[in-house]
Parts: sequence; C-alpha cells; structure tokens
Amino acid sequence: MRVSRKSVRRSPLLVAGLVIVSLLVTVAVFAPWIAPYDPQAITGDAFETPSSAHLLGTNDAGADIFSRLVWGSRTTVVVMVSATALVLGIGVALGLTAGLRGGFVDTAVMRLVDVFLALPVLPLLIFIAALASPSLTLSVLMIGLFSWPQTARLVRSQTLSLRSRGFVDSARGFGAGPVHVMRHHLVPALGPVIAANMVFVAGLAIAIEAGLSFLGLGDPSAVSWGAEINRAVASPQIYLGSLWIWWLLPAGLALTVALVGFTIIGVALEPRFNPRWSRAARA
Amino acid sequence: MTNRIGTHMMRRRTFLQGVAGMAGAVLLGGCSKDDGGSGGGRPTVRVSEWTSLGYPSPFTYTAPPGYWRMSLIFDTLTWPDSTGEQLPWLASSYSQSEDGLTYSLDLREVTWDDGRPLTARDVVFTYEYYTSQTFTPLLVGVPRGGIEVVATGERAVEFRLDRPDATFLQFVLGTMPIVPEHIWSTITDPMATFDERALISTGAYSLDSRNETQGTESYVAKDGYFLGRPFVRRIEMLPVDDALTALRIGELDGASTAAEGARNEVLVPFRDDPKYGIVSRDAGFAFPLFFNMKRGGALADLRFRRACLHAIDREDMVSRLLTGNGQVGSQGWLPPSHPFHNPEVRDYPFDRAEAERLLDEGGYRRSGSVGNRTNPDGSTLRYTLFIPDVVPIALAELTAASLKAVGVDIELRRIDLVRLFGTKLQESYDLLITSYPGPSGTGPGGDPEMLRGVYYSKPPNPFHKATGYENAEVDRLLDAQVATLDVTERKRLVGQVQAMVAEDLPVAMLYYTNFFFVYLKDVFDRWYYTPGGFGTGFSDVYNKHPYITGEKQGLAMREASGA
Repeated sequence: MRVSRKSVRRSPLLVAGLVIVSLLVTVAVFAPWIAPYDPQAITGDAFETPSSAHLLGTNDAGADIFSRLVWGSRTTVVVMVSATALVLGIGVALGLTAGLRGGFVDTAVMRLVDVFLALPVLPLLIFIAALASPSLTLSVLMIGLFSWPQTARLVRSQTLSLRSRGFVDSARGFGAGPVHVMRHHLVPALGPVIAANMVFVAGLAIAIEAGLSFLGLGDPSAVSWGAEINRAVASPQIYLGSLWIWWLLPAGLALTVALVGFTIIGVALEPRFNPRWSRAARA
Repeated sequence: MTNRIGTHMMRRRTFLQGVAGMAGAVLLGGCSKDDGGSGGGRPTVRVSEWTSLGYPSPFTYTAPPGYWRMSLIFDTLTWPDSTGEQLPWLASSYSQSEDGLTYSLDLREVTWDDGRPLTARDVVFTYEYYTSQTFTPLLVGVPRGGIEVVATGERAVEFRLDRPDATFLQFVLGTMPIVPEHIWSTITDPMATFDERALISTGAYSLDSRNETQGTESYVAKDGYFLGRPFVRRIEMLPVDDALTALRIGELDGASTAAEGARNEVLVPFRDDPKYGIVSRDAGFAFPLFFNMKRGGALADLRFRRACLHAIDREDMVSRLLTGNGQVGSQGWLPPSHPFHNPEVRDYPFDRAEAERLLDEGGYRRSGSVGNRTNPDGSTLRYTLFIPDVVPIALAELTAASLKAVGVDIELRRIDLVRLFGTKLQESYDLLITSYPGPSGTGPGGDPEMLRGVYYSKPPNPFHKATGYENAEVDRLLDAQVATLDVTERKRLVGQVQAMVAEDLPVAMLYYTNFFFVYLKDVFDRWYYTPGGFGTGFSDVYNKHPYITGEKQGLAMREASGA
C-alpha cells in the first residue's frame, strides 16, 4: 500500500494536512531568516501594539511576539521529530521482536505494554516534570518513554499477520536470520502502518509539549507556543483589553492549526493504511 | 517613668456599646453622597479566596493570608489601626516599664463563645502553650521564648522579658491569638485538631461555612462582640482566577493586584470609574536576587556581585514591567518609604562599562566585547538562575539578558513554590530571584527586625538567609537594635546595618512593587494598608480592624446602613 500521487490528488484532506505540516516545517527550518528579531532579545517597550516594527507587538518583557511565534515552531518541530523518533524506535523494535519471536518474549513485551498503557500518562508526565528540572530534553524523553506502547502493540499485531505470509517463510527457508527478515521484509511491509502511526504520535508529541509548557513545566529558556500561551493568560486582565488578540490568539491558533494538520493527515491516511479499513473495503 | 496607654478607653462593655451606638448615629448622619465616599456600608463583603490556607484555628492556619482569616475568629491583646498604633484590644490598657522589661496589661470583661470568662490564666496558658510546642514555619505568629508571663490578678497579667525587645509590642501582644485554657489544655496535638472546639474564641466573627473542594469560606459577625456589633456582618471568600476581573463583573467587592505588581493599564478602568476606590502602598513586595556565596568562585567575589548589579538596569525594569508602580531596590533591603530606611547606603546604578571593568578586574576574561567570559581557572562563567513561579518570567529574562550582555552566561530554571523552599533551605542554587515576604509574612515595610532573617549569621528562619553571608559586626548591630527602645538610636543602628550589607552585597535588591486594592465604594470604603503591617508585619490590606469598627482609626464602632 503506497500513497501514490494520484491518491494524494484525490484527497483534498490529505493535501490540506500536508500543506499545513510542510508550512510548519518550513517555518521552523527557516526561522532565523523569517523572524525579524532574536526571540529572546528585548527589542521594544513592554506591550507595544502591532506596528511595522513589531507585526504582533511585544510581550511583557519587550520581546517581539512575531519572532517568538516563528521560533516557537522550531521548538514544536524539534520535540515532534525527536519524540516521534524515540516512540517509533522503541515501539517498532519491541513490537517486531515480540511478534517475530513469540513465546516468552512476546508475553513479556505485551505485559510491559499493558503496564504502560494502564499508566495515567498525562498526570504522570506532569508529576515527573514538576519534580525534575524542566528542559526540552526531558520533555522529549518523557513523551517518548511513555507513548511507545500503542506503536508496539500495532506493530506486533501486524508482524504476527506478516509472519505467516509466504514471503517470510520463503526467506527463512533460504536461511535468512531474524534481523534480516525484520530489515528486508517486515519493516518495508510495515512501512505504511508505521507512517500512519507516526502522524498520530507527532500530533500527540506536539500536544503534550504544549500542554506541559502551558502548565509552566516546560523549559523556561525555550521559546514555545505552549509557554507563550501560559505567559499570556497569566497576564492580569488580558481579556479585558485587546492584548489577547495579538499575544494569546496567534500562539493558540498556530498550535491549533498544527494539530489540525496532523489530525487530518491521519484521518486521510486511515482508510489506506488501517488493515481493518482495507478488509472492510474488500468485503 | 511608666507609659500608660489606653486607660481612657472603654474599660467597660456598656461604655463600648454606648460608643457603638453613637458611632452608628454619626454614621447615619454622615452617609451623604458628598462625604467623599464615606457613606458606603453593606453587611456583606466578598473578597477572593486563597487556597490551601488550612483550618482557621490558631495552630492550623498557614501563611499570612491564613493568619488573616484566623484573626477574624481570634483576638490578640492589642491590635493596630490605620495609624499603625497598637490599640488595646483584649487588653483594656497596657503599660511598659521604664527599662522595657515588663509589660502590664488589664483585660476587658470578655467571655468565650461557650460563655466562660476570659481570665489572665488564659493569657499565661496561651504563651506557655505556644512556646511548649514545635510548629511548622508556615505558622507565622509564634512568639519568641524567654518571656515569663504571670497572672497578677483575675484580669491582670504581666509579661516579664529577659531583655528589652523593640518588637515585643507588635510581635507578641499584637500577634499572639489568645486561646481558652479550658479547651486547649486537653488538646495535646493542636496541629491535628480540626473540630469546633478549636474555634471557640472571643473574636468578632465565627466560621459560617467552609468548603475546601470549592475553595469557599464565609464568616459571620457575632452580635455580642465585646467591642460592639461588628460593622461588616458577613465576609465571603470566593475562588476566582483573576480577582480584578471578578471585581469588574461584580463577583467580588474588593480585589488586590498581584504581588508581582500592577501596570497602569490594569488600573485605568477602575481609576476612570467613580464607583471604585483604590488604596495603595509603596513596597508591598520586594524582589531580591540572592547570590549563593557558599558556592564560592565568582559568587563569593564582591567584584562579581557588584558587577552583576551594575549590569542590571533596574529603573528600566520598574518602568517596563510596572509602568512606574514600584521603586528601584535599596541595597540596605529596606525600601525608601520605610521609616528606618537609610538613604545614604551605597548604590549601584546601571553602568555596563563599570560592570565590565569590575569583571575584568576580577579576572573574568573574554575575547572581544561579546560572548561569554571565563573564570580565572578557564571555565566558562556560567550560572543557573532559579525563578520560582511567583516571580514574573519577564523579570528573569531581563535579568538574564542584562548579565549575558556583560558576558555572564545564564540558564533559567523555573521551580514551583514547594521546590523553592527545598532549593533555598538546602542552598542548592547559584542565583535565585524570589519574592519577599515569604513564610515569615513580614513585608518589606514591616519592622526592621526583618533584616535578621536575611543578614544574621544564624537567623531563626533561614528561608530568606543570604546564603553564605556572615558578618560579626552586622550580627552585633542586629542584636543591639532589637534591644534598643529609643527609636532614634534604633534607627541609627539599623542604618548602620543597611550601610554594611549594601557594601557587602550578599543579596541584590532589584525592586519593590506597589500594592493596590480596588474596591466598590458603596459596599465598604474603609480599606487601608496598615503602616508596619498587622500581625508580624503582614503587608496586605486585610486588617480586621475596619471590618469590625467600620472606621479607619480607633475603637469607635460604626453601624452599617444596610444592616
């Protein structure tokens, strides 16, 4: 199952999602050239209203809000990519191993998955973040270490299905070892499933990072959308003037649009990659 | 010579009631609109609630706001009004011996809620009970030891001090809530007692409702209060996210600006509307930058600390963050508005060139005029600046940017209040900006004895201790000033302390924020900030005196027009 150009053209939802995510990544990559100022620099008076010098005005310290919004996308993308890589790395490795080896290994991995799935992840992340010193690395590690079980379970079930297919048996018959089978047969076959899961995990990572930052548990040195929202809503009487329009709203919108982008990609890919959908379509 | 204070005042309850009646009559006659806002008065006042303040008994409240709520229920022997003078409260009068070692008090004819009379034994018991227990530091009104309390009559008591104490009147007589011996003598664990017995008192109000889940509390006035019928009949504390917004939409009758300060644009809607009144005070809160001198290295180097302060444009901070509603910090700790402030202490005005010169002189080198400096041993001059969540992140960012500009690399680390306690007490920080008052509750406008908490070698509560700072002469002066009853001489000693610590600079005072309290005039209009604070110097507006009397001064009782 591949996402062909034709299928992309046929799915406006997928196009819209890809455009949003591409835009997010582009802004993050080119942030130093797009943002007019260093996001940490004090470039104006506090609470300047929007002007040609400061497109979205300045915050309580006098930093340019537009520049912080642009650089915030970089934090979002860094967390998204790192946490997703960690989740996929752990989840795919454990899922493949469990599915391929079976027996005790399968049982042990699945019980571990059950334990992690039973944990109240968000309260646990908040608890850990409150105890430890907040940093971007910690956010990435926490998201990665607590979000892999669903990926592992999905990969394991697909591996069990693929394991009984003829091409896997043939490869084994020709003397291929487990690592060879994983690398050359299972991972490519699992690609679409992993890709769809990756979209889900990326959105989740963005939401968790923003949530932790919003609660004041993010890295105070990092510029992030969640932290910006936290700071804006903590400003006294922000809703009684126009301050919220140029400080709170842009960060909230940026975060919402990014999450919507990943969500609609996931929705568009679901019928193509979810085995249940495929079976339903064949029936 | 013996000072007799308050003997002319209301020795008998009947007289008090008469005064209350007269005050009511005066009030009713004075409630005209051209009275400059003095006509207000409704039976209920709604203010915002602080959460987690504990049960309002004298042994289970927490922090200064908890003390305020407890003070509605329990009385002290004296209590201040808007002049800051300690009025005889449960005491009908008090006097001080010439040597300052004996305070003699006569008690009013007062009964506890259960009908038993208040006696001198209750006062003796209260002091002994306090000093025989160990309480959490969050119980902010615990009297010092070393005092003998003797009942010299049924309603006469003497406090005999082991040394003169300039703070005794406010910190003991004006702070210690008197509890009934017949109740508490049977209670061995006061911090675990949460039933109705713990609230049997002489106070003007009783707890009407308390919902910890919803965060609401209400208190109702006692008609038979010994000073007369309290003016404010009911006090409600409601949970709100933003008190000023809640005031504007009519959910509260009065609201304070945040400790971190208030910008003019927040106050403009209230200033422009005649139905609101605003009271304010300078230096309600202070924001000091602590250097952990125990870490050694640059932090223990006077040139580095002075360079840091020269590098920070504190006037810009006050202007940028507070639109001028604050004052630049004095390095003697006490703010300019404090009666003991020494204006001659060394100042460290913003001067980046001087900061660079001091750092160069200290051997903190850098190549060129940008980039990080290095320590004399070649390592990068880099420190972590801790910021508790009660400190504005903008203040931390401005501080970090200022230090980075002169080559000191700063990493910011946000911590919550609970971790702040641990971090400060365990001295596990490099640099720390905190807000003052802290657990002691004494605001920067309180008694100068607060300097002991910061600069004394071994302060009783080490939370505000300037970590690693020890100066025997400062210790001596602090001991001398608290034992000096002559105000002029005490001011001289306190001035010397300020001058010395400003030279040594173990803590850099960044700025003080002004407090504002906005209120609906037609509900209650006698709010004030108590000079020197109430209790041990609480700087907030919630002195119970005006609720009870309906006035700003004295003990004359006013009658509520809407009651």
